[in-house]
Amino acid sequence: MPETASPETPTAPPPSQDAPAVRPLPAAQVVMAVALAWLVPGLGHVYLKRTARGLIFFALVMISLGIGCSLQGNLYRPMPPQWLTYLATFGEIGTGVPYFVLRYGLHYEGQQEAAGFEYGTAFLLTAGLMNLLLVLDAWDIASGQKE
Amino acid sequence: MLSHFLLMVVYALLVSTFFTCLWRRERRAQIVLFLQLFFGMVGGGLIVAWLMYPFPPGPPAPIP
Repeated sequence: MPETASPETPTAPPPSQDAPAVRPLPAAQVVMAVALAWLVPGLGHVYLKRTARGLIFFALVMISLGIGCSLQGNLYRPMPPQWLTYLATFGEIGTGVPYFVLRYGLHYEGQQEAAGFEYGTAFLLTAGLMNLLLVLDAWDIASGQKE
Repeated sequence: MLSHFLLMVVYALLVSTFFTCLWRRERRAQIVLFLQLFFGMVGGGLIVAWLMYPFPPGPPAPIP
């Protein structure tokens, strides 16, 4: 005898065992999560109750930043008419508060003659770009598009 | 600390760990992705370096 679907049969898929229910947060909390994620690496994830991941991301970005500084990499600032420096500056400002602490608090600029200058610049840029990805990830989580 | 290979490995380690934590949740999938990214970057770097080996190094670039 073939089975027939009764009208009472639920059509929604069963919830996953390991994934919590994904629902969007209010707009104010989304903005707060994104702002915190940019200001301090990983803080957006901590705000969204992904504490362990937030701490791991914080450590990864800060380690990359620390290696870049120890190698005397370039902390970019806009230098017209070199327009690529605007792009690089945007990438490094992605680090958030640490960029401004380095720039204005510690007066760090990097040393072009240093042996590790190019490598250090790559680490500094990577730190900023990683944090920009974390900002987008925090946006996705807060707006319910990602677990 | 200025060993090119060591810096490449450290860079690959950082980036692989970052994307593993960002893109995967399950432990087994994390391990697989980490190994793919890490050995992809380190191995790819070594292959590119090997391919560039026959080219002459040329004079050092001037410091602007």
